[in-house]
Amino acid sequence: MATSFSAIHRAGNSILVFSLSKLRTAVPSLRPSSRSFAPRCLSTSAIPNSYPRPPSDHRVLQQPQNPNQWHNNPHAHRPAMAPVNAPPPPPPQPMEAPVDLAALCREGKIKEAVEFMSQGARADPPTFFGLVSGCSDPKHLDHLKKLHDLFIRTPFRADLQINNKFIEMFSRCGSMQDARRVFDRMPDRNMDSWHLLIHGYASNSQGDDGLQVFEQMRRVAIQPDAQTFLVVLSACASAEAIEEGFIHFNSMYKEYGISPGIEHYVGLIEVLGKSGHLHEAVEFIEKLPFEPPAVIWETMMTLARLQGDIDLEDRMEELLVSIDPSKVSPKKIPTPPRKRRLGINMLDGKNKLGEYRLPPVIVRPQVKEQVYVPDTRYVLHDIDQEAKEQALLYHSERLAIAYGLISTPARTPLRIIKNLRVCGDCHNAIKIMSRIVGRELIVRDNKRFHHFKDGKCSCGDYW
Amino acid sequence: MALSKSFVFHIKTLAPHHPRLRIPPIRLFSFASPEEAAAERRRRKRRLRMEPPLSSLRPSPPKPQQRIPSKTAPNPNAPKLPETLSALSAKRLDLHNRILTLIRENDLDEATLLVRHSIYSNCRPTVFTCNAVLHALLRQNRHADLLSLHRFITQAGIAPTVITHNLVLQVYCDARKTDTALEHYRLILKDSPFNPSPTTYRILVKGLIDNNKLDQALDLKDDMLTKAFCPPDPIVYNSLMSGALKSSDPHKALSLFEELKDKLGGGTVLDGAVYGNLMKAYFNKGMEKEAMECYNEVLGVDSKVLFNAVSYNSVLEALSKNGNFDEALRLFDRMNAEHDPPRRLAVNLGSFNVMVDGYCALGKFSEAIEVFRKMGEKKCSPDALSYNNLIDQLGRNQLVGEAEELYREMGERGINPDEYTYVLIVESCFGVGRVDDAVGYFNKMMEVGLRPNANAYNKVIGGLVNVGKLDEARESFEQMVEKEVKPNITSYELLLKAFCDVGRVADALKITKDTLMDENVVLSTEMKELMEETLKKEGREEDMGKLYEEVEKEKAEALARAEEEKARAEALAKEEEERIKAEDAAKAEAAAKASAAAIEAVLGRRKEEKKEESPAAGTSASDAGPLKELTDEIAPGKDTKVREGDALGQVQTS
Repeated sequence: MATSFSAIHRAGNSILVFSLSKLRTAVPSLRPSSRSFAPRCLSTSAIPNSYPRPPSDHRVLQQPQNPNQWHNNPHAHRPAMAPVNAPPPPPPQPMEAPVDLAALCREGKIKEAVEFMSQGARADPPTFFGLVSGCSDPKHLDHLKKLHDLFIRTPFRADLQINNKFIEMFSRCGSMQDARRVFDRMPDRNMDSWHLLIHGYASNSQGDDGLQVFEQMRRVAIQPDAQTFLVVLSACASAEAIEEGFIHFNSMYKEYGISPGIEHYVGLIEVLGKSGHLHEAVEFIEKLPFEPPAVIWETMMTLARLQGDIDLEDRMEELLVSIDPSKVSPKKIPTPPRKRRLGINMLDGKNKLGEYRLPPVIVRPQVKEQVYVPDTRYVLHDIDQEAKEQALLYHSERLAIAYGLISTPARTPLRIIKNLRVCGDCHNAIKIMSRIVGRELIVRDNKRFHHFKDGKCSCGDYW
Repeated sequence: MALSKSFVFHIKTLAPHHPRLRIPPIRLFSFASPEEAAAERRRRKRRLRMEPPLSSLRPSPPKPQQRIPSKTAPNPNAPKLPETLSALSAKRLDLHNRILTLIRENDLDEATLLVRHSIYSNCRPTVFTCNAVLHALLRQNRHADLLSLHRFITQAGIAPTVITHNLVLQVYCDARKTDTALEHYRLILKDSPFNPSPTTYRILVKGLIDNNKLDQALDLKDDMLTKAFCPPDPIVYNSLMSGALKSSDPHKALSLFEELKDKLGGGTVLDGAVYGNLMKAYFNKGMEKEAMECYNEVLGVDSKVLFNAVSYNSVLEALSKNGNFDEALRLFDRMNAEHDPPRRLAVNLGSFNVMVDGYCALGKFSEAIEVFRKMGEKKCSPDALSYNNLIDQLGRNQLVGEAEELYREMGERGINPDEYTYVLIVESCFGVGRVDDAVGYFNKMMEVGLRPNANAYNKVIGGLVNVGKLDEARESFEQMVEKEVKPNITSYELLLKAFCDVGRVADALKITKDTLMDENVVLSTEMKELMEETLKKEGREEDMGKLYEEVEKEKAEALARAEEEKARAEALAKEEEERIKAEDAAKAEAAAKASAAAIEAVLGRRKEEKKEESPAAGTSASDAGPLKELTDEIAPGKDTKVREGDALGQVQTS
């Protein structure tokens, strides 16, 4: 299986790949069976742990991929695999290092482990797998990159499962470029590799790229399965591609004979809901050929909440609770009633209100709004008017306030300290700012404190 | 080459698998499959994004059409894509939930303010949070606040989603500003990186139909059909059909139905929404047999047409309004049997309203009230509109006591009566001759802060005129003008007729004059004749001519006055400008003065020093001369000050 994929896909490398896979096929136990990797789910926790993190676990030895097989390899190739950039290492203790690393890995000390490894310590595949699995947070991206650098120098760099793990973890860390690089360099891939890549794109809001990967996948004549369509739908949701969502959903049964499960329907509803087509999603649910289970209502409720439609959210919650009473939330605040029904419940012609009521006024605020007009009297350089206005914008207190605003939570007061007198134009500007941003801005210049609040200054414009 | 080959192969494998295409065939001329078309649209959308399309590490070279956009510099003016739902996480999700809580507590002012303030903080609200607040504002009919918040977030650079657009369109339609709504719609088509949703069209078409703009709505529908992304929508067609029926054109409604059927592929339309209006159209054309056939077909045992409460109501109304009340009763029973909240909602407020209507039309008022009371059992609570419906029926049949009782019940239940309610009560009171009560109700409406329009005033004026209380009628007319409600021609005619009938010529003349002065109305010829006749009776034929002259004169005067006002305003503006100029000049002068004084002080001191050195009077005078010239040169127009200094110097020297 793996051979054929890669041979078609990367014609240039096919010889190398072929020979490599031939080697693999020669040892049947080595062949990664995609069955054991059943593409049920894409998260780490759910992937059957063929490389359990604590390598001391006895199951490791019973795995078809016998770690010893790899473990012996480094010895054979040692001279070729000497680390390039590391200083001449203290002679590595081949038997000691894995134990050490394994312990670190168990304790989640990824940083230390990576340091040891860059100094020449070697890890066996299970340890590698464990280390990579530990980098699930974006802040571990650097470690993960280092790990990958180390990994491609190991003799087991073609290992399918570790490569897949890299794809998954890179996409979890939000670096799809790296994930893609891993994918492109993989000598052979299984369905999971494709799924993980598409899913990674989808969850990093790059659904477009995910869909392109799917196109590519079909171009190389890989038969998509049910799991593929799940990830494709999630890519559609992230790309807000409703039309394609429906096309792929329809082609699922017609072209590939996969009958859609509940999770596919949920996926399609998410495509609609995430694109803001909430009512259309509800209509779609109404037309389903079966009675919608609780999960669909729950999805719809979450979508309505995120999109801010509280009426729909209430209705969905009602439906959900009617199916699954355990979902009732005790802290729920009842929704305030609508002011006026917009004629939705009424029949046409019965809403005679317009006949007797003046149309609702859209009042523009009559008070003249405060408007900032640059006051260039305070620019003393001999430059033209526009340059003067420009110069005013870069007064240090404004820069300080701008930085303060974007780096603090809303409504916290800002304290600005300035060693010169504040100019009249800045004083006006800050007064207006304080009203718009709704904060107290305390500016100290070399004479006094100015407390700006609600468009007024404590100095009463006298300073 | 290899790529294009595989591409062709791809097409070949795809083509036979799409027997039923979702995209109109016109698309197929340029694209091999609907999928290709959709992909192209998606790519076009992505080109708007700032980042390059895909990592450059791809092994196979991408298609040239994808390369081009990445090479050209991104257009900074290109509309921004809205954030995706995944942006709503961590702190921003917390903010979202906090604002949702505020909305549920109905503290919309705080919610709005918090959104505004958060924009200038380290946690910008997502567009979804803004949408939630906008939606809540729409629910509470706070249109002005909604639009101002929308403007604020647009200025703050938060890219709107399709939901934002729908909310704004809904506001414009509610405020009956359909032209603005259409303008906004065109803006979406022009600028937005995404397409309007079917809901957008539903809102717009419904708004246009509610404002009796069928033609524009039909144009919009055609526009919708040319867009590949919008399938023909039964709900849009239903709105259009009801619009056609409203303008009593059942033929148009039928042809719309045929069109929908055609567009959907020729089979039965599976959405029940359209059938009520279809039956009404048949009934209106006198084709009762077809109507009932249609009814039996779509609501038959093995029919696959889906009905919800609204579509049921439409059918129910078609039946009960066209003499099939027994059938309507059967349908109502069936709906009640199907009603199974929360999963299946087959009955709502509207169903009860239709039944109340039906009973009232047959004169069975006690049954009507009984059905009305049953509403609570089905978890429907009546709103102002359903009360109005019943009050209307009762009032028309002189059952004022019952109507008033219902009105009181509304107050007890916390349902606010609206303008319509009051007008109905006023009308029914006039109907049984309780004039004082009628006026009392009308004044109450003003007290609670409702905004009746000219039609409502006309009801009162008409009622008062009918019982001969002309002075009161006149008073309420004046009140109307006071409240800045523009009187329409009916208001004038009512009063004019009344005054002519009782022969109060002076008042009649005054009203005529008012009418002629009002630019919004045109005095009809009938009224003119009536007026002339009245004058003739009194023997004052020439008064009419005089009146015209007077009006002409006054109009000219008013015009002249307006001109004068304008000129005066201009003059005032000019004056103000000059004053500001003068002030500036004075300020400059004062500054110059100050500097001159400073110079003078320095020079004076020097002078004194010099004098001390050479005490001869003659030399001091000759010294002062060039010095004075110097100061004059520095500060022209500062003579007085300089001279004073000079004098002082002289005094000191002498």
